[in-house]
Amino acid sequence: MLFKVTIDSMVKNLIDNINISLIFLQSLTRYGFFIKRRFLDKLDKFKFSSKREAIFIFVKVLIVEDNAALTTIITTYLERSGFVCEQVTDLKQALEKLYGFSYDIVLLDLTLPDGDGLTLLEQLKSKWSATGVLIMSAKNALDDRLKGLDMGADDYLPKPFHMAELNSRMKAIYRRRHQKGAVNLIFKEIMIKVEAKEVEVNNIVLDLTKKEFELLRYFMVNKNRLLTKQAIAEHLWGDYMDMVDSFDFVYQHIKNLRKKIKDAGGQDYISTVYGGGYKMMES
Amino acid sequence: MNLITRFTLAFVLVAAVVFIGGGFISYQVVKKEIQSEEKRFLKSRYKRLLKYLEMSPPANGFTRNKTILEPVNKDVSLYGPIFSDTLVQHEHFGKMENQIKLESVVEIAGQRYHIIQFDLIVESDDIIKSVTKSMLITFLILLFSTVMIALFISYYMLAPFRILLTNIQNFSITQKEPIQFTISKVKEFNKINHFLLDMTSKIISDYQLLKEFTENSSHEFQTPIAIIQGKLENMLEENNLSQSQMNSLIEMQSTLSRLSKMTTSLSLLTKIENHEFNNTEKLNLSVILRALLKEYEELLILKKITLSMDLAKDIEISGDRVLVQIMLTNLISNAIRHNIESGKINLTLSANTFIIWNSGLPTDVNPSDFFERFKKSNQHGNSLGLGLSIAQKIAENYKYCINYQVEDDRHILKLNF
Repeated sequence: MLFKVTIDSMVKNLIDNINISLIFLQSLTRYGFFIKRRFLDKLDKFKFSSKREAIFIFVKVLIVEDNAALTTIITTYLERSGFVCEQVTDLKQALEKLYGFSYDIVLLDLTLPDGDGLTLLEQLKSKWSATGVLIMSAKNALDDRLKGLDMGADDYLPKPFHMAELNSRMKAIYRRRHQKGAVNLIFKEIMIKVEAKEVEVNNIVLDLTKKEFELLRYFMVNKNRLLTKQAIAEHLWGDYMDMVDSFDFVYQHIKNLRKKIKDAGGQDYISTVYGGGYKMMES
Repeated sequence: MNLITRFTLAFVLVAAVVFIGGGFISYQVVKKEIQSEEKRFLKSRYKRLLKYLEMSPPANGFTRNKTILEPVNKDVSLYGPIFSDTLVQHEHFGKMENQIKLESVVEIAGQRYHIIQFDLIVESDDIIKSVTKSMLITFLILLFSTVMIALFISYYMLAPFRILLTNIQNFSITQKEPIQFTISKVKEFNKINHFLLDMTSKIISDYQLLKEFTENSSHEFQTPIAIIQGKLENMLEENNLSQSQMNSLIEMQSTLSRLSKMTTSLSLLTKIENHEFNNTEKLNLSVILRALLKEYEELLILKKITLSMDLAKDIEISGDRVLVQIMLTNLISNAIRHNIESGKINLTLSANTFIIWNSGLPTDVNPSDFFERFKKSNQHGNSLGLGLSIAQKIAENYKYCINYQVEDDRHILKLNF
């Protein structure tokens, strides 16, 4: 695993370096731009390569958030998932970045020192329509939420949120936008056909309930990460559940899920972190 | 009844009393005047008669022209003249009529005469009639002019006041526009206008501040909470945590999430109280309820709660969709949360009532206290104690009647809309 991470980061650094030199080239010549496009196309092909499996490396994210502490946390968390993050703190810087580079997803805060994030959303939609937008806002105002989604944001995440939730939603956006949705999530012998909402273990289709499917998907996009019961409960039930027994339900669902995977001959990768929560990892 | 009608009515009432009193007084005055006039007249007739008697004292008495004269003996003592009322046969009509009588015994040239003179008097009936008539006519004139003046005042002079009233009525705190007014010639109106302008501007700015504060506070809290949350999550990812460290971190996380939910709920409550939800639309309550119940299906199964319902079709209410959904969600989740093992929930929706009852534990708390903020019957440490307050505020916002009853092990919540 350690080895894989090293390779990942090496490739990432390499690509970042290439990117920077390409941008330098691009600024010099029109040909440079052409090279960059060709290269980026190749990179995209690499991103969703074999077995039509979703791979989340080199997904470029622009975080537009004025709170540096939060940006750091998000960056730390997302980079461990294979996202490449850049940070800006206001609208002006965000536009400068957007004109200079291309991003897969913009993580947008609505209240910025120099204006409303919704104005940036508008420009994103008209000029960079290929870029996904996830609004994260502390304003829980419902009309802001609706306005954001109406204006074409891919998702809206109210603050505070669990990092695992952010991770899951970012990946969902990326898959929908750049991998045309029809891509599979694969973890060992478990494969989720996201589009068909089907799970196969050793090519046997599992009969999962909606919540169990959602739970498994959440584990798969957050593999090797600790998911607290609370994060899981909030992911599955949103605001409906703020009760103690929701944790029992999480336990119940996980129990059922484990059983169904085992029954199909799969291995149990979900380990219980005592007192903490659950983690899906290669044992 | 508007102000000017009241004024007019009061004035007319007082005028009526004054006119009745005035009529009585006029009657007395006129009667007295007439009587003294009649006496004067009789006296002058009496004097002329005496002069005549002195010039040519008649030997016999006579009766003519409302005068009766008869000689009397010396032994009749002298008196008079005295006045009295009497009934006398009318000369022409032969009818008895009230007359004034002058009677005296005088001595002229050694002969004593008994003199009676009388004359018609104006009867009280007639006086009353004419006084009433004149008073009534005057009163009617007064009434008419009062009404005319009242109409005039209310249409022209009170126009600024009326405009002001409409403006006050139309004033809405959410519209951010202070009350507009027109400059009037009347000092008092201008004063009121200025006062109201100042007051409404102040109200609006205070309201704005309050709104900003609630929004900002809930907003400003979320980012620090998000940071702590993120830091905690990053810490949880570390591999060398001890069990107790892990437990503490998890506990911090859930407390943090409660804090966040609490600020959101409180700011929601404030927003409802400030009437910030104005997107009123027609809502099909039956459809909304069914959709909500679908969300809870799984929860009900997991908690082994039996749900029975009797929902009428296409019950419509008007309100803000989000608010109504929050209200129903809170009511349903309250019924689930405070339920017992293998409990029951029953929903009934009819034309203007929604009743939800659930099995639960008997409680000593006064059921209506559950609507108060942070009031919980006990055990459920994880609930915020704001759900029912929010539901009640929403109901109040739309003037629905909501009440909570506990009958033994049944908790019944009724909503009339």
